[in-house]
Amino acid sequence: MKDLAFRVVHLIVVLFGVSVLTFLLIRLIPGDPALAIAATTGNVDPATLDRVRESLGLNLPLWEQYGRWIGGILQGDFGTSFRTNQDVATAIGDRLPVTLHMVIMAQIMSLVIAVPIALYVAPRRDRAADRIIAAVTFALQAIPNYVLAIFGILIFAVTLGWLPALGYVPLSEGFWASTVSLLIPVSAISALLIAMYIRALRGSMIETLQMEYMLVGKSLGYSRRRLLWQFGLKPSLPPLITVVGLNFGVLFGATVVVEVICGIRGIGTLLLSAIDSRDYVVVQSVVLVFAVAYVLANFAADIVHLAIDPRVRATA
Amino acid sequence: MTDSPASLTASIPVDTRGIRDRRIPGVTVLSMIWMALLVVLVVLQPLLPLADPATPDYSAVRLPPFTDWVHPLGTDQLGRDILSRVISGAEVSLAVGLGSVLIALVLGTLIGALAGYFGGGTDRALGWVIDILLAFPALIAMIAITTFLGPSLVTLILALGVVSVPMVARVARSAARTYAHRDFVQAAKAMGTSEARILTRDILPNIAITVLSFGITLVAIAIAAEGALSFLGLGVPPPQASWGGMMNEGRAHLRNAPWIVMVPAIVMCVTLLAINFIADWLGRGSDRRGSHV
Repeated sequence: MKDLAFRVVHLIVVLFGVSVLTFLLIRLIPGDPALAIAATTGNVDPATLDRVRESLGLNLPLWEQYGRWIGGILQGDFGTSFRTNQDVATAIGDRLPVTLHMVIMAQIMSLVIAVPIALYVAPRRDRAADRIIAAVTFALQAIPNYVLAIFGILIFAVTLGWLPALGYVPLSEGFWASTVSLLIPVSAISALLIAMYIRALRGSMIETLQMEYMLVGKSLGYSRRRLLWQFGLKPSLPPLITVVGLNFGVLFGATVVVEVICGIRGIGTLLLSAIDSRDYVVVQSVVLVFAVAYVLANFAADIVHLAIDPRVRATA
Repeated sequence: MTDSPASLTASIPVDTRGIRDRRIPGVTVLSMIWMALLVVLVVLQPLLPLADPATPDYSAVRLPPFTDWVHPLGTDQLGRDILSRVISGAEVSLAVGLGSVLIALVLGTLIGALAGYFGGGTDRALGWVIDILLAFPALIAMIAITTFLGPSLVTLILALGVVSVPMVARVARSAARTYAHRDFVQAAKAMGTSEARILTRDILPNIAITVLSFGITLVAIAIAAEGALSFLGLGVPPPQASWGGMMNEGRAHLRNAPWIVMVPAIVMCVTLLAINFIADWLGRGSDRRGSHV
């Protein structure tokens, strides 16, 4: 329990630090949002600029601006975009589901591909299949997802014409159409995940296979498939669960370039356009969403680790 | 929270087949040859009989590769020679990769070694800072730094270097921690050796291979990140060629001139693979040392 309390304190400190860092770093970016807004009304005299600054709260001292922002977020108010006057929570709410769809689909696709492969190669350690898979995963994790996305567009959209090159069809317009529209970007993102998941599960599965109860199971005549899937898989899962959990935290920030290349209006492209227009409120809120996702995923992975592995609990 | 990924990799059994095998594997040799070739081409760039990478030639626009001896790898949408642009882009990638990793290695090792060696309060304080920095999306930090300083090669190196510091620090910290309580360090302490001397003579040489092999992986990550920034318009400013910039500009011509994208994409992939093979081979070297203790 003491350990858990420490982790919660740690979580809060890290979240606080990240929010301060986000707030300050974004104010480093040159360009005056008040000037940009006043320019759209064609009225850039000093009096107008002051009025705009006042209405945005930009005339207040930094710590007070920060306090207002965080205070608002804690009450569920993310503020209003400088540029579009749209409620930031609504803007994020519009875009987050698109990226979330990509991330969840990538996770499912990666697990569906990686788990059977890992279970296939683990008992065949160092044999031909294992080495081929090791080489493929090595290559997959070296190549950046945006290069894979371009290869995917060139092969499956431009040359073969099987898949759309650009755009996202929302889930509301049909599961199949939506899935097809995401196949290229999600595959590009999944390559690295598949490699990570195969490595994680293969490694722990090899350890599990050395346990004595596996030998007992084998001598009792259980089939290899049953030994692997029914007895071996569950105790081998903790490392895989940790990596999958951590990826939920990292993936939101990792899809930005793929979103740009595949013309998907997700949270990454929202962030980019907000940076372009110096829309502080949107930028800092989106970055905070990324950071919170990362921190919570880490936290959750730790907790799950504690919960399923008694050895960690004993030493912590 | 700090240790889960590290402890995770530690739980994966180490491949010990390499202990007996002291020869350098074939792929590693090929990788080294490829990297050496890139370096030589970049250095000899001004002497080679190549078209200027930045000069457009509107009489030879979108020439396919292997059709013209003047432009062996073809030309792009402005008629610029792709081979010379790829070599010129290699210069950017190598500079960004090596420069940023050098910054990250120096600062990260320093911070990580201090935290891991001294432990206690220093470690905890630095641990918090590292965690906060790691939670902050690296891409955003790079965008903020590049928009603040204005896009240039130096900015890219600085931005990528700064962003990589916490990653190196984390690796150096956990490596230093495994040595901080070892007998030879305790013995040095008992003999009254100064902390500074223990750090430089006992800790640093021992964590060097671990940190360096991670540093080589980081070179690959930095080169990939440079490409990503180019897609967002934050790479080196044109007309300077860079692999990411070439891919980004050629994207619009994927249908009628795919080679504009494919050539830099393939060169980038081969380079990243080569760097990873070298890092992997070096990393096995460090495992070999670890497995005998």
